[in-house]
Amino acid sequence: MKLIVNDTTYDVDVPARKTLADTLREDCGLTGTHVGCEQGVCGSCTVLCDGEPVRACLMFAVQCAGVRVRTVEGLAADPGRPHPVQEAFARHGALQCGFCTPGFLMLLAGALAGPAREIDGEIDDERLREIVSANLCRCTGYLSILAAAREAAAIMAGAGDHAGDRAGDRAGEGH
Amino acid sequence: MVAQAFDYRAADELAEALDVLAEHGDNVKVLAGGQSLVPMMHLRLARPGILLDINRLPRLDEAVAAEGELRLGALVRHRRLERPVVADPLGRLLAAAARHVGHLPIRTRGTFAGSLAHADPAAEWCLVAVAVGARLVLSSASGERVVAADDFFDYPFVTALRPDELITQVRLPLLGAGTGVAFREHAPTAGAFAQVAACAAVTVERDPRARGGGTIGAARLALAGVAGRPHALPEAAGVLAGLAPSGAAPDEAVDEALDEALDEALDEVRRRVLAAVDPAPDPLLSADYRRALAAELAVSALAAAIDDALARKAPRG
Repeated sequence: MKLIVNDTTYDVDVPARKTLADTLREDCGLTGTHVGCEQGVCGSCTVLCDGEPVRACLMFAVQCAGVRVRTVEGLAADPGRPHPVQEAFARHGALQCGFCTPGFLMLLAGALAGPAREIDGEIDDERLREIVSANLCRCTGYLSILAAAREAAAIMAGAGDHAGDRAGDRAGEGH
Repeated sequence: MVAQAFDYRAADELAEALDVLAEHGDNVKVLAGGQSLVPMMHLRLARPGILLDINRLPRLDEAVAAEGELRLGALVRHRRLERPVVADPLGRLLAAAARHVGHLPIRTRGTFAGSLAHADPAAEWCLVAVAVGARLVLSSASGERVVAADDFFDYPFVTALRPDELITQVRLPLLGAGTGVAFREHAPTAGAFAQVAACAAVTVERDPRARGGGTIGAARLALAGVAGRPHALPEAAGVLAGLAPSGAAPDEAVDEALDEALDEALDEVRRRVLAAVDPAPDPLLSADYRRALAAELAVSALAAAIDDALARKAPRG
């Protein structure tokens, strides 16, 4: 089957029972998507499907024909031009061991832009806390993640802000 | 973890899907959102020989109001309901409940109808379906039948759905203007399944003769997490019928008297819920704790539903 990841088409030959997460790692060589619990609880494998955050361990790759998948490898516009969420994570030290980080980045990139943003409109602090509760981090205690999320939300909501526009366009691709 | 090998079939037309179910029913699991089914397959709690993907079926993602009811197709995802899909108070009730369903990346995939088919006794949508008296359209190659939510749920994860049937639509009666709604839930962590949840809808009818400006008509209450399936509690909620809630009374003394009467009625609701529910103890939660939780959430939901109805009735200034 053909799998479109980060605007690149991969020809993969996978059994039906192979998850999107395993396929990304083993067949596309994109190991930035981490696999933790394999049952939808931890959020480490979060990627965007048509702009929406999903658990890549709870989808089979065969379901993704025609879907535009985005992983952490495709989050930055170019090398040296990180996504606003990535920049905020770096500024606030929102990671320690880093295992959960790709999942958090994709969760927030999807939640703060694209179709998710259209549903939620303004995202307040309570909503941000609810969003980050989707993923597990055992190092940081979440305070630095929330601080980064707040900053990224503000930047991406900023009208006319170049970084925000770019993030919105990218997450919304495929619609 | 890897699921047991299966044959993947993605149907393009409903008839095609129903044929697969007719031929292989017992050996098929239907894949909509897959947010409960896929983990069960990874853990080998579910081992279907055929996985029937219905995500390509046309028009099943529609949510339309018609003939006094909201009709949700089998592919309406939780996420869609986070914003009211109808102006009727039912839209607000669904939105209030949707925020309790899993986490954002679960809600982008999981479906309302799929949750009913899965029939977890603590699931929000099963509770809402029973509370408002939803009806499920069950389609098969030999036709379709319509089953009331109350008749659909049997035991945890056991429903009236036959192996050759697919839930194609869920019909939820509109509640009508003047109905206040509330959803209350207690869960151990954010996004976890509820330990107990309560759903309430209370209609306040305008009545110039009533001291508060209105009287309570129908009051509905249902609970999840206290039995193997959600249940409506008409005897408990019925205590409120005919009461005049405060809010529009001409002076404070009248308001206070009405508040007192309402508080007494809610105390009676609490007693009736405590007497009506008989939850099984589990290693994490004693039966008494669960019962107490049910009573408090029931009263809280009903009181909030009354407030919601009154807030919507307030004259526009």
